Amino acid sequence: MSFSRRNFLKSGLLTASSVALTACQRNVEHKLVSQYQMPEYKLPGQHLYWATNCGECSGGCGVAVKTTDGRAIKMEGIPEHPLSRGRLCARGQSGLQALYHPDRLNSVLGPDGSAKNLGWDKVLSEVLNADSLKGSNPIFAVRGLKGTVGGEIVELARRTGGKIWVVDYPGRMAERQVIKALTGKAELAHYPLESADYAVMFGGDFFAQGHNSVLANWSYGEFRRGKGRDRGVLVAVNSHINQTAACADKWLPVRPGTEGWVALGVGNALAEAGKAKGWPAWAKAVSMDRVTEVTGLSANVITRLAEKLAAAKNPLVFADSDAGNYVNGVDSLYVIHALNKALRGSIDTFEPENVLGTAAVPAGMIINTEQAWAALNGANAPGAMWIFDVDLARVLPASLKPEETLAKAGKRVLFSCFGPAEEDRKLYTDVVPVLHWLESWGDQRVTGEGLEAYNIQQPAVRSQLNGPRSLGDILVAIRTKDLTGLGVLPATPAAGEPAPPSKPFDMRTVIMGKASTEAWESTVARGGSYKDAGLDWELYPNRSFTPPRPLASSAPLPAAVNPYAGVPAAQVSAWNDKAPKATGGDQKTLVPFATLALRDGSFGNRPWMQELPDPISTVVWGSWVEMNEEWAKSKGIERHDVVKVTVAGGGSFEAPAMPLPSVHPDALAIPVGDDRANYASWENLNFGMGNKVYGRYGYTNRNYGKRGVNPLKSVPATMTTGGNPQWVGAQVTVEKLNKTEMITAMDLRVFNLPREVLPFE
Amino acid sequence: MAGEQKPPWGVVQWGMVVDTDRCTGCKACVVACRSENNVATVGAEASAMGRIMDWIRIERLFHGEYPDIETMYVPMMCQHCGTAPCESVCPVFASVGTHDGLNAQIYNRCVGTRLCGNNCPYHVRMYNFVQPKWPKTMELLLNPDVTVRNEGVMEKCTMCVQRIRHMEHETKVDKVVFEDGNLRTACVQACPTSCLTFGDWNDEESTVSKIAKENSDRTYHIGAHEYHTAPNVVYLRPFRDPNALGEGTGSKGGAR
Repeated sequence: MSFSRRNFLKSGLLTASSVALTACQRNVEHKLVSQYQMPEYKLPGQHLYWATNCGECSGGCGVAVKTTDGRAIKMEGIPEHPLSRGRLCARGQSGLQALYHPDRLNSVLGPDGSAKNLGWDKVLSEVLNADSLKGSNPIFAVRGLKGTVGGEIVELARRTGGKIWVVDYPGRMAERQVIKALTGKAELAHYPLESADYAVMFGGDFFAQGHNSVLANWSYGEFRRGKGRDRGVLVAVNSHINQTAACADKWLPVRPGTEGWVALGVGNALAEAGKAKGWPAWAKAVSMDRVTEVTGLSANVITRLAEKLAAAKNPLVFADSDAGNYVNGVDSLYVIHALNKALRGSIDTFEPENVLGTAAVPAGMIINTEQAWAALNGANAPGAMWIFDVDLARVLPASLKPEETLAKAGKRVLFSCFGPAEEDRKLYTDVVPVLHWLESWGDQRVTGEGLEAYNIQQPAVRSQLNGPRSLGDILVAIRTKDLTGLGVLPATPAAGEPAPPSKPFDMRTVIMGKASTEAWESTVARGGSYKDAGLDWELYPNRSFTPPRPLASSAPLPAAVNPYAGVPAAQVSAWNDKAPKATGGDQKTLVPFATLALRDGSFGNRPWMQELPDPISTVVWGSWVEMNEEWAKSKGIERHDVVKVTVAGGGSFEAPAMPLPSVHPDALAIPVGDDRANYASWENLNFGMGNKVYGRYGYTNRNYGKRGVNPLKSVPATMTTGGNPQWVGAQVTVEKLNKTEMITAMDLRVFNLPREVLPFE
Repeated sequence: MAGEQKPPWGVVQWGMVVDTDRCTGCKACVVACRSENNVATVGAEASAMGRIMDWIRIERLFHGEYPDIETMYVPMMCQHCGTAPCESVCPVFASVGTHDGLNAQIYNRCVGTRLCGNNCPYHVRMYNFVQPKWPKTMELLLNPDVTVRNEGVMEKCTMCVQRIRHMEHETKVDKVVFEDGNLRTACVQACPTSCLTFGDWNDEESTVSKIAKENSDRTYHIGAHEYHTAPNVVYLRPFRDPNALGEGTGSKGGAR
């Protein structure tokens, strides 16, 4: 190859707004480079890979970003990485469309949504004045905390006496509390499906919404057809077939919200046979009759499930966090994980969100939605709220009155790559533009058995925008009052005052102490420090482009600080016999679910994701209501018929019906995340069809005068025992309206191979 | 043509194995393909008319009636048929077979008769009814190795021919030794479950050959009997255990 490995490695220090791109050493200021010698990143036709850490979710995948001429064109997994293993999920790959999104925010926005032309020194003194936060009980809203940047947020909260509100959908906090009660560690559950031979899924959507969906999908491939093992068997217990349940050998439809009840029945049957060690005594008080009455499953099926699990060499039961979004969700999660513990003897844990560079996080600093709401409505309402890329309007039900309540916090500053949608502007007083994760630095420490990894997020490209700065740099500048990292020249210190340190934040020092340059470079070049996943490096395609092999052995992993260690363990000492109401007839239970493509809706601004067919309904672009086919037939509801869904104690919405055979008659399953009109900053991009394809949050369908709905907004203002809004399980009624709206499902128009040619008949 | 142009490693026949029992319908392949091959998005109404441009899709199939429903996923892309129905109907030879087993679409020959799409039993040929557009900024993420197709042109899966040609070039110029598994299409590379495998059918030691041999009881050519297409993509049948809950509790069961 024309460029040497050594030069490739010199990806430089992750300082300030620098981008690790050139072959020159960044700390050498005056280096003459011949004009005939092109910088490596501009070698025509030569793709370069930059190893970094995927920022689309907190799963912790190592990604190799393929760049050409200094622009990112594709994302792939790092083959050696223990979590991504050379693969990458659909959502991770779509990060490119956010990076080059035309609606990226380039300047600070004021309360009226107008751009403020402020320099970063002014932004820090006027908008982000951390000194004024002190004593005002500020709240810092985050989706999650990870790495050094997460540590900076913790430090900021510590200095200002603030709280950190974790707004996570689907609620991971409840799961951490349950795992803490069972294992003592406030971490997430890890499901080693690859080694299981009989697995049962109790709700949730592990493959689509798992803590690391790449790892979840990989483990399924091994589970089914791994070398040197028998094919694993999967049973799904759920109220509607989702991506994961579709993979099961047998789907057992149950009433919505009763997955935990099934686990309870199975556990009791096992305990009776003496095969469930440590099964809680209080669980045994619930009779099998009660379980069958609530779930709708026969005692025979539950006993068989227990027999199968008991006979398996390596049984596993699992549930994604989503199963905890029912009112009694925490109890359900507890029973499901207790069953796992009884069967396997222990629970494997996994924590991708550890913070670095800070001391242990004090108990009480991390709060959930219930506590945040109590604080906002209390006497000492917070004086300010900083929101780190959380779309509050999306996950808070309208019944909680988010606009009024958040207004009590005074100044609400949103840090984001994108401005808020027009209708949500009132939620924020200021919006500060930050760089996309592909342009900025960061890191992540993942803990868990066999999953120990330290990922370094290096900038893969230089930003096309000059306005935003990386969140890490902004937080460091606030702490050190040194603005050089933000591209502001240092002020001359007043007489008698010490000059600010010239190098306030050197990530290399933070991360690796006094490690040698060679070790640092090789660590950055491979995207962090981790044990090789045992994969053949040569399997990587186009290997002339592959990131180089490490020069030195992996650097030691930095000590992880789990910010959730202080959250209280779930208190489950008796089974909550508050059964989800048996619905019948026209009354249904609302089951909003995060889709593969849009998750909570944060992927809704990407055309790749909007046009990604849903695994089960095959719908693209827009909302739909999944309902049982036979029930719909009895009501005369057909596909495309608009139905009005009225939520007891909440709001109502209208969406087109999608009758499917994969839904329990009691359930009404609705995807979340697609409820915005078109906020595209440019108007002319359409395909001659009248609908705009891109935009901040998707599209508007002007021919039908309709747009998507977000069922999370319509749920009643009840909180679960996990402290989140009760997103799932509200009672609803369905009414057929006398109009239709086109559902863009692919199953009849595009996915139309004749059944007889497929290998299943 | 076969045998006339010999790549450095001999005459090859590229193909794929799709193990449907591993597929979870995660659609990583779909997005990887869009990213690698500059596949356009078309919007809601065009999608509703069946004009979605994806070169690879995952079909979802229901089997049975509620509550005994089995669901399966079938990844579907151009089968790169040995006797391709699309080739015989193209009046301008835009749809042609290559020396290495691929079914190629020569975009600048295509005049848009759509006869090939009509004659393809797999519905994997996508026609550009309108000029594909991207916002100015999103044009930055287009892959320079792959052309952007015009309005009025039929397009389809190429098995990432740009990667194949690149590897050919490397073996010739950079003297890289080609090894099976070094070369992977975008979908195969992204697939987290290893459902998709790419390789050379002429090489008996290649992974695809080995997988097909080891799973010979499950191999299946979609439509091979009905259409006589001789596809280069081999499917492995999915399986749903009829005894998942004990003897005789499965809905219908069996490898179907």
